[in-house]
Amino acid sequence: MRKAQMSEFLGIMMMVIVIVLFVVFNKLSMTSAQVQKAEEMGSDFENKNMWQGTNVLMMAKVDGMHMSELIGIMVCHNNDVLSLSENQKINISKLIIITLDDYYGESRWSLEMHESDNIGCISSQGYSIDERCSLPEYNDVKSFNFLFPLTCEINYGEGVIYVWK
Amino acid sequence: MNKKSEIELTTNALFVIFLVIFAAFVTFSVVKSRTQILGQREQFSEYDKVDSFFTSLLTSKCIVSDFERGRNYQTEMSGFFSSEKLNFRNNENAELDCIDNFYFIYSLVVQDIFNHKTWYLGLKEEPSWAQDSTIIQKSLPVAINYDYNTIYPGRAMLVAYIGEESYLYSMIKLACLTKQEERISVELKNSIGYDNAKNELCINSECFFPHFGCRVDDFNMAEGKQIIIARYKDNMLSVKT
Repeated sequence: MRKAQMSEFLGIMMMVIVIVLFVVFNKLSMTSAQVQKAEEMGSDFENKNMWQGTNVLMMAKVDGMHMSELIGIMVCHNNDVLSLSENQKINISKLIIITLDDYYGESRWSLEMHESDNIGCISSQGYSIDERCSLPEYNDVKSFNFLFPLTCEINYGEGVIYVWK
Repeated sequence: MNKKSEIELTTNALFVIFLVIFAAFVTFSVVKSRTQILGQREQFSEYDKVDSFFTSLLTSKCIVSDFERGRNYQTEMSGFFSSEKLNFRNNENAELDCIDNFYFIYSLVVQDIFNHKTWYLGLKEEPSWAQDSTIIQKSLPVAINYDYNTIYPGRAMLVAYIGEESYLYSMIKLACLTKQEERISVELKNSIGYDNAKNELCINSECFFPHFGCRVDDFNMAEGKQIIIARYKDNMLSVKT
């Protein structure tokens, strides 16, 4: 084989390699763009679900009282059962657990409530007082803050709903 | 011809064959990825359409509680449904007439989380022809207002059926809106018929009450590939192959 022919072959081979690399790279970058777009859409919907879930929970009304008011009563009195009369009781934490278990999945959320003296946590497992919610270490945890009116002082309490996958 | 030039000729021929195969591979690969991209783009666009329709549906006046000054500031939020309005439209097996959708046929299932009461809007149940369609389901939290003193949390699930039948249905709706001639090529997997007197659209033997937005003449379409033309004339839309 002549030297000139050899370099012609080599040149074309290099061009082929460059084209193959370009095709592979292009394919990979397109796939990653599609994955990114799918993730973005999923994340947008999750955020919407979370935002809507928190708002719905706060606007829910039982016996004429907003859930945000009921949370305020629960935090002020460190008691999750509100007695309206002898036969009429509202188990506030149970209502919250039923709602958030449905919206975010069982054991995939927790709700932390702060007031100047008190702190409380509700999760799928129940209501606990004087302790912060424990969160999973390795999961991506999203949080959503809200305010609730207090019955024990003229102020608002702060709440956070944590949600993870 | 000497041996050296024979080898050279063979090498050259093999090289040309290699180049042709390589060019075919590159072309095939480019065409395939282009088709894939278009398919994925179409899928994303379907998801976007379902998403934006769902968002509009959550604020639609025919299911959302009415604004009453000083009583329900929260009605500004989407998904504040009125149980009275839901009762009124429950099990109608009809498309909602207060919100237009030009992309798919759908069902909306609303469930109260506390008392498990369920309302079925749009298509009453999943039709058997849906197995030939793409089904997209989305679900979001909503509030169900009974009397402004009892508001329970609930969940709304939108099920969208996207396929050739929905495509034809949407084209008819669009023709009604624009009053222009519309033409589509579809490959129907199920027969479709419309009875104007009953306002009943049947896909195979499963019927529902559509909301076309104009008078549509009776039509019957058999399964198979066909070009369908919708023409608006004398206040009536005729749909023909």
